[in-house]
Amino acid sequence: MEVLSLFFDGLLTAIQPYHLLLITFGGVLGTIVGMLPGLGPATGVAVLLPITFSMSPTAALITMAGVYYGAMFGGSRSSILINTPGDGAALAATFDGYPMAMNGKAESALAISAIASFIGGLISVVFLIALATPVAKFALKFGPAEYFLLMVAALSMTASMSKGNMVKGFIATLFGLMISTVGIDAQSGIPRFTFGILELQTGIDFLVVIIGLYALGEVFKAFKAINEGKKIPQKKFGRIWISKEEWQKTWLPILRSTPLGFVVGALPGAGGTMASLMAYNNEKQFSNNPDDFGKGEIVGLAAPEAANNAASVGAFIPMLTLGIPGSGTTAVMMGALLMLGIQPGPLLFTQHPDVAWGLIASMVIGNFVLAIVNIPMAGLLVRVLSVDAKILYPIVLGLAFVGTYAISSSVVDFFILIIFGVLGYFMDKIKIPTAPMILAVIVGGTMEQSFRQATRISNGSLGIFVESPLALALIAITVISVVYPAIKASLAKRKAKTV
Amino acid sequence: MKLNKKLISSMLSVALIGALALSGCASQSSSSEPAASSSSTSSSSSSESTDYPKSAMEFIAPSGAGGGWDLTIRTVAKVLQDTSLVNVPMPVTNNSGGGGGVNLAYMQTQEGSDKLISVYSPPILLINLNGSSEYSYKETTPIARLITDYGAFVVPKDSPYKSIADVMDALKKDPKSVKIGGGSSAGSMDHIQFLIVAKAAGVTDLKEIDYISFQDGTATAQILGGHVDLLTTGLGDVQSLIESGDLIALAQTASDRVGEGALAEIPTCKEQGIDVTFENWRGLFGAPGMPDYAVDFWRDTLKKMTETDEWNAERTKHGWADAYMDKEDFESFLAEKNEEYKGILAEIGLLAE
Amino acid sequence: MEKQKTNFDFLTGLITIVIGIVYGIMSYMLKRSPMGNPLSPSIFPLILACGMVLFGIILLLRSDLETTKRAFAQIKATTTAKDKLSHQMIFATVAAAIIYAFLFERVGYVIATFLFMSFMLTITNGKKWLMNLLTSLIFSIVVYYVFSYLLGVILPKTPFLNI
Repeated sequence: MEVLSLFFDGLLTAIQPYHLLLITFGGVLGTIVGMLPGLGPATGVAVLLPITFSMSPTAALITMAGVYYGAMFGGSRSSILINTPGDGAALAATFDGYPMAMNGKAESALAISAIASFIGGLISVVFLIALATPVAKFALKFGPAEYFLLMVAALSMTASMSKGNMVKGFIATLFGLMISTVGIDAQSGIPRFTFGILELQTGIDFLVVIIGLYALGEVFKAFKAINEGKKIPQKKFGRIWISKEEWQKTWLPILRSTPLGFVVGALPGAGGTMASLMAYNNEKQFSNNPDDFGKGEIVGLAAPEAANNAASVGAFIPMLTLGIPGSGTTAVMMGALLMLGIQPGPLLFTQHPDVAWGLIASMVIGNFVLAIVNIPMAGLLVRVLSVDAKILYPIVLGLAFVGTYAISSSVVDFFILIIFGVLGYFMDKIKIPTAPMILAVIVGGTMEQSFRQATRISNGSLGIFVESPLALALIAITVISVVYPAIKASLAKRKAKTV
Repeated sequence: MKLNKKLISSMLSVALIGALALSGCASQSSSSEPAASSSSTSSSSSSESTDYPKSAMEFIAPSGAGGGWDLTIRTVAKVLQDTSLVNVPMPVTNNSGGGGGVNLAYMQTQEGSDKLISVYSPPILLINLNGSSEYSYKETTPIARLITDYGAFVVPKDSPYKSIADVMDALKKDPKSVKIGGGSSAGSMDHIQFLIVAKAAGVTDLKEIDYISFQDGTATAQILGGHVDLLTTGLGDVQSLIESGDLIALAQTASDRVGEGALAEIPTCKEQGIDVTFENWRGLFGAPGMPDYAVDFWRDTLKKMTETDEWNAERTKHGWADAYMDKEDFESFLAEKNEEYKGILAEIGLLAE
Repeated sequence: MEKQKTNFDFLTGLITIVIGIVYGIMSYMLKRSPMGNPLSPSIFPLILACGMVLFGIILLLRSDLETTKRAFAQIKATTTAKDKLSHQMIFATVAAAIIYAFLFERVGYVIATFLFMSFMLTITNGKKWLMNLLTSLIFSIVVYYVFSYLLGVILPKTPFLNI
């Protein structure tokens, strides 16, 4: 009961007009920052740093939290409308979101993305209040061996769900992992595959890979459409909302994806991209007609969107309970708290209950505010579809370059961007899926490091990978994720033959 | 054209809301950007004869927002502004990458700039010695050392190791028996600070000690989960977990105990018979060939800053020890430390040829 | 009669194997680690290289040269003048982007972007000069101000003018 009264105190703090204004401001800023390729929540929060120094800790934290959820809402807008994810977590939204927009269902796509985000975020806050401590304890069970196996599970899930054939999915995964080995090896301090280029020492940023493959790839594909004089996809726009049938189809996947996203988000360093891809894959496996996925299936958009927002709430757990940043964004927020003289950690709830509960309550309010702000904003944004491709795509290109520069202020990244743009074009031609490759680039570094950390801890023995029950469970998931689609496919074939 | 209109209108709305929020906080703070013209009278009282600095400075944290470097330079900017010692804007940018190496390379492109000031600590020496950066501190203009932080060695609360001596004894028997975790890469700060202490304690097989690098801030979770045996980290980084009793600090690397409360209860290495200290000093560096008038201005200003109450309050808040050192002393200090780190890196084979 | 299959799998398999081998050799040539196992920085890349070669071979075995040949023949047969134009546009974009990258830090964001965008709009939108130039100008200035002043991402300044 004490928890409830503390929560209501927090709610009273968050609902003050000044704080409400800050949440809205943060949310709108976050939505816009999230939409721009290359800029994610971490940038948005960093922009606010100097402003927040003059605020009270509570006000500072809820503004930054507003930016964080705003970016989570906004990231998928550009995925749906121009097939260019704003950041890694919005990658899965391109799979079915963009086809939906091309099928003339942009309104439903934008609406379900906001609704799923809202529900995923809201339920996760309840989880956060009720389960923060046990979830944090569970997350600590993940040692290097478990992290490695988790990455393997996520990668094999994504590779095996790729359209066409699994072999190509695995080739794409391996290629992505190869890209992730560029840079200084943290365990030995030795530079690898850097060709003497200083900028490559920190590795190839996955965002540059995403922008190259998607934004540039999309521009290249658009040239064909422009030359053939294809029509604008949509001119008239309806209300941003979903139909009853769409809701009946999606509510259960949303509820299923939320806890998954929440737990994955709570693991330090795992994050929204993995959560959303895992949710997508799950729903595809649950589905009775998995072949519709990738062609504009609304469930394929709702599930990752819910998981992604749930993950962003989950990422607060390590920070609030242990003082460990769970993601790049929470790392910046922790820095801001330190500047304000507050030490996040296990004693935060007892030493500064006003700050901790103010933040949690602001997540609730923030979700409502964002849902309210986002639906009309989507009504404006959807009109991007009516912009002439001849003008739109040069602008996408311009934004892709400035977004790339924003990542590390280096022109070297432009060349990497161009290389991946061209690569994406050819990968599309020879039908190699890009999603497994991107996930591999994102998790590859951690995956290799975890492998090496684990074997160093075990003095070289591979036994460490089967020591804990958690490790065994993860191995089981991996095996199922590869074998199950194959069995399902052969069963379907047999059925088709007998009928 | 339509999109442009939309872009502009959405940008305008951001600007509007931004302005609203800014004016909202203006009532709480003095002002986030003091106007250079109106307050120039107060700065002319300084010994500077020229009117430097005239325009905005370029303060750089060579790491992402939220890290130790970032915190230091933002605090400096804040204190200089609050105390009106400097009346031009001092926006902080984050130029991260390569453990600071990317910014070091950037500083070379700004040779002779009177605007650029960056913060660095031991890694500025280490990344050059281990070969990850071709530039050394000699290709910058050291201005002043400001503070030091200290290292700490922590274990989970149920650890069999009760003192740093226990750890060292175990390592002497079998260098593979204690797995050391840290947040920086091999051959960088967390690793080196542990090896310096181990060397002083008489451990000989430094090369054989397993150091496990956890980046992205996951090192603390790994020690809490008991996946490594000991974590080498900064004293301030694990403060709250020490206070809560989740982690036990075996030693701190200061020569006399620093900090307050739980931190002050951590014994130093010296108290435990290992005669060694490790300082995570932080100082400010200008671009190579920074003009003399600018160097003089900042030497003078930073000296004044370190004497203000505001600065001392911030220092105490973050648990930083005062370590002010003027340019000349700082330069000889850097040369001395460079030799010390060189010795350790050579011993573990990470010294670049 | 089933329609004859066309795909690039044979070629893809070959490329995969070549990439795997080259990457594998590069991995083996990496500097040895001075601490612990000297090969430790190379082990993971070597595993990846083996995986690439393995999956390349699987793909190769499952495909045949004929389908890939047919795919190329089909492309040759179906490529229209418009497709050729698209390819030229891609080539022009890449070339323009490389020049853009070289100019970016030398002439500043606004000028470099204005030139790049004008060029891009000319190849997509044709010779509607006024509209192209105006769009490029507005884009480069608006983006510059939004990023540099609102988002705190410092873009290269225009030389001499210093804005």
